[in-house]
Amino acid sequence: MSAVQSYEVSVQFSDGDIAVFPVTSNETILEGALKADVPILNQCQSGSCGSCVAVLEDGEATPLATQAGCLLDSELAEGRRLLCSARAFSDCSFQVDYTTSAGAATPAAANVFIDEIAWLSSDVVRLGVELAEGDWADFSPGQYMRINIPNTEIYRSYSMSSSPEQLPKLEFLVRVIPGGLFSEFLSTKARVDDILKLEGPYGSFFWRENFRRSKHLLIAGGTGLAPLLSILDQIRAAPGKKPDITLSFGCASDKTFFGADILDLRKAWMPTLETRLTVDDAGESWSGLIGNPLQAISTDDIESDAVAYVCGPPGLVNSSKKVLSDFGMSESRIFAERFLPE
Amino acid sequence: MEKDAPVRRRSSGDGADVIATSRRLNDSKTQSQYEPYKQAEWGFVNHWYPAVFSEELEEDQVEGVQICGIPIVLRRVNGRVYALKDRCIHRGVRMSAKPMCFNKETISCWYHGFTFNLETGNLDTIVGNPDDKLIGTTGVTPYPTEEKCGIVFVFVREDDFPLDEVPPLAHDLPLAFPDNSERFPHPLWPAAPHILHEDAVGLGIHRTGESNWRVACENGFDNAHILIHQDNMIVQSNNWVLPLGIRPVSNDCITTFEDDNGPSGLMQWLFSDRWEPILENETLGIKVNGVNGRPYRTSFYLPGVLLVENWPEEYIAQYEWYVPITDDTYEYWEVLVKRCPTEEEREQFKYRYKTVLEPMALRGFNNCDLYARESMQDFYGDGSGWNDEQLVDTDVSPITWRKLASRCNRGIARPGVGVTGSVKASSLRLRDVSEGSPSRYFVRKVDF
Repeated sequence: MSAVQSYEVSVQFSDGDIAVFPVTSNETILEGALKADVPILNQCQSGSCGSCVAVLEDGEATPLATQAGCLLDSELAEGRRLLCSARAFSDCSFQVDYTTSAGAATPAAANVFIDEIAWLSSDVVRLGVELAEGDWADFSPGQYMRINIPNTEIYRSYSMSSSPEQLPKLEFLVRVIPGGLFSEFLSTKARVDDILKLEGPYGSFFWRENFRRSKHLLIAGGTGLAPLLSILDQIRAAPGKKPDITLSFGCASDKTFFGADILDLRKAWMPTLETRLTVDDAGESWSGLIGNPLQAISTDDIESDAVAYVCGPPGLVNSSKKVLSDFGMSESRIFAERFLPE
Repeated sequence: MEKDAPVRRRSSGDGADVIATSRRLNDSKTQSQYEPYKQAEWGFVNHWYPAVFSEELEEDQVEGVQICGIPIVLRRVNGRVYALKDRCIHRGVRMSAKPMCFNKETISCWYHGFTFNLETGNLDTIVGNPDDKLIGTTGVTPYPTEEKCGIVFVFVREDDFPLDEVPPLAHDLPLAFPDNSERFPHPLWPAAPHILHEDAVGLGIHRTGESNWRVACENGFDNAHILIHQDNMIVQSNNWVLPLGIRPVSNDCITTFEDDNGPSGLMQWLFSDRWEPILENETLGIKVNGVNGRPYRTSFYLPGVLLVENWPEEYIAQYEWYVPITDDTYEYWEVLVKRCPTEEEREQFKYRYKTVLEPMALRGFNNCDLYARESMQDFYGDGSGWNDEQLVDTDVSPITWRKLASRCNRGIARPGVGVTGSVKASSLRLRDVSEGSPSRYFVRKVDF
């Protein structure tokens, strides 16, 4: 066995700040970063959530052989690494596409009171809550919280559909799955004024303010709409000219489609917003498009400086990344979050 | 979180909104369409507002005003007006309260001498501490200004609204005529004069009203409100036909527009077949007795600008602004604009203004409006009025405006923090009231 080696790792943030810290050969790069208080976004620390992704610019860092990461082979080939699942084999330098302050909002626990449990369709609930007196939870639009299922140690992750402007109120869109633990709780036990515990914020999928003037392409499937609503409301509240925004949103069928009224309001409030509504499986009364939300996007929608936010099931996210790249978009301007049913 | 601490509801939590089920125009669905407007208690920011009349700011004069909860200091140097945030970064004192300027480039805070560049807002020096390391690293927000038609306009922006995105003043002013005469024909009167016409002369007043700016502005183009003017001297002495009310009778009675290179606003097609004047109420046995027609037309623009064409006389237009000071006070601007190409016409207009138009129109007639708006304040001041009001078909005008404003504003002002009026019953506000000079628009100058 070789002796424990120590390497110097540097991470450059999008605001130009560079953090340098030591990492030994028997710890992950994320472990080294957290020891040195470097604000790398992370959550699961097991290779599945994708929060801690960084791009390797120089040096050698390889994924742990013992852990399956959520990166595609093509992403690995581009130099992307999950810092929670990678070891350094030399001095290395990485880049991340967020600022030092983005990761600085350290996750905290908070109590909330349920304000609203509203069924938007046969399987989607809007859960409205308010932070309890004395509790707070800052977040960036697009991020998520982990919600504790009462009387268990089990948590489920949900993105906020509300924007930070609405704090201390928070809203989530929950897909109700038969047999899902949180689904079961929401549909049978939860009542207005009940207390829930949550933890957050988490996630590296959030609105990048430095691209705020660029054409925005928002692609959502199902409750993947939630973080994009948060982003929309943040854009509306941010000072300065609003960018052109195309939001393509799809559900499996017109029977489970939800959110048309929510999006109509956003269109009424935002002159630069255009929406496209899709379902895969439509009855005769459906007046929107047929197909998935990615199919509603064409090269005509891509401007040279466009930025894309994609959120939905893994299939939609993966194909969106590929198709948008084929349309000529730079990977560094495609932000994505995969949603899995609970 | 401490383990044993009880979990409590926030005490500020507001109850669920209750929408009555009567057949009024503003059901919950309509209301949600103007939710952003309901949130704009302190006004819309990132817009141009009138700050002072030119004659209120002479060379080297310094004045402080507050717009949308933002304190602003104005200083005129070599004819040009500069505007900065009127709150010293050091201890929050308003520079305008005791003007102190040592040169033509800066203004100094009279308390500890923090000195700000008029052009950039940067902290250039500190009078008694010229080597401090803070110098050059910080400052106050500067605001773009424009001076037209005897009015100083300020672009009231959020600190981080980019200067390179500041739109031209014309984007926050009414439509100009005759440029828009084909789009909005006005067969009954000549083209209205515009603030930006070279030969335009603006004469008027501004004064503080004690109500929220939204209930104030909605009065001006509400076509049922003219009932309050029936007994006004200017109406009776001219035997004008002023209807009891004007009802919409066509779904195109109002045209809204969001021009890429111009203002966002709404035009009411008054004195056309799209609106019906009500001259008689049989139930009450009332008839309008006037004999002289008085055609006029109102249009309304972001961020809250009223144009009344052909009012109060031919060749004159009345402009009004309802500039938010706090969430319960606004500065009411009434300006009559007339094109006067010659000195003689200017003098005639001024004479007519002083002897007839200001006393009979701006004061006699519009005083009623000021009172009417303040009468709504208790209902809307705590927010309940927005939910409890029961609107009717003539209220198509304010509802159209609320939706348009929700969509076309450039930003909702955040509630004032650390400024006049953020604490409603502050000892200073109470002292001002007790001394007979309540909530003022201009800063109260320190005298020692």
